[in-house]
Amino acid sequence: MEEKKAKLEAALFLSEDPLKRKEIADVLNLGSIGYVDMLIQEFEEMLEEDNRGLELVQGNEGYELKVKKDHIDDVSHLAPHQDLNSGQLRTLSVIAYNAPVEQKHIVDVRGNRAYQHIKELVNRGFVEKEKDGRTAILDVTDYFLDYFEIDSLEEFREGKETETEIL
Amino acid sequence: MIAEQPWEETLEFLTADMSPQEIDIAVLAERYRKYISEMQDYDFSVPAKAIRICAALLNMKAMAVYDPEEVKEDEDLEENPMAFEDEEEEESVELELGPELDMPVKNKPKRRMRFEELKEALNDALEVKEQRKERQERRMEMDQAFEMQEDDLTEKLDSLMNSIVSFVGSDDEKVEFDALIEQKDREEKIEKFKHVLHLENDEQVRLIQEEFLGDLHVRPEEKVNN
Repeated sequence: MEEKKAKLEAALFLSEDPLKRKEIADVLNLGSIGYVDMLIQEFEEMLEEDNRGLELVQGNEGYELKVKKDHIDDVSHLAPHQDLNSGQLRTLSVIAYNAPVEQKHIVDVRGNRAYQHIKELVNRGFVEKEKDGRTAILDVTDYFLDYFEIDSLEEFREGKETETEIL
Repeated sequence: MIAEQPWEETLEFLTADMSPQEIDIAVLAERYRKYISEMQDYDFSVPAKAIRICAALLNMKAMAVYDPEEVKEDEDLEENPMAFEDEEEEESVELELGPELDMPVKNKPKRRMRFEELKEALNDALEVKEQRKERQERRMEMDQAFEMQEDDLTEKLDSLMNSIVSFVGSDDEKVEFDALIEQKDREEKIEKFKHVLHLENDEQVRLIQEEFLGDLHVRPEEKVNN
């Protein structure tokens, strides 16, 4: 059990992309997804201890290790690679400011690359997308609020100083 | 034989006919040498990284095939033609092989984004939106400036063709491009040049520049004269 947990930690540390439960089962050579869930839960609880600097985060694409929010300001300069690239972050900010919003409006503002950004943001769990006729309605998720440590989108909108119309 | 950058593609190109398991480093090195010399002919800069990779590959191959015992046996069996009979044999220096080196396995940590960055990103998105809008407006202005009716263009081309033909007396004569310009201003030159290019595309004239950056000449094509 402890050995499997250690292997799970190694896999999560090394993987560039989030790991799905099936991938974890393959890496650990486990046939039971239930056992994988149990391991993940125990590992998650272990990381919740105050003396640990990482946390296990679950998104739509799977599980990944992240630095706990309390430490991020002290260590972020050591990691030059951003979690989201600047294009994705800009698209996310426009979605968040206008949410819920039709996808076509976001594409009007951000250009055609926004389709790829939206796909990535949905996969990462920041944005949820619901089909609405020929377009889709985009909204941010609870994960988005947790990630940026805000209680509601109003907090984001209030902080906006410019009065320029975005959409 | 010249392949485009990046260097991975160059290597792939040079080893296209080889099985990935049996890449002949000697052949690859020879091909790469030719490739470099061709690049030098074209005065291109030599990708130093690719040379490094090839050198590393050669080194790896050399290390893989190097067996100190086997080399010693070969030396014992083969007569060294360069050795002098009365020369004393020097003691062979045996290199000790160090421990095998493991590749470091490390991930690239990604930094979590901050709320302030999200707010800044909104300002950036607005800026990008404004820039895009300005670009679109500029493009539309330019499109309008260059917009031309099909009939107008045909008339202008016909008129220019008549001028060219009137300048030349025989088939092998040509007219200086500058002679076709009336106002001698930049705009007219650009417009006339575009029209001459249209005529050349239609195979009505031939645009000639005998020397680099030299004078341009226009010669009507034979079929037009005939």
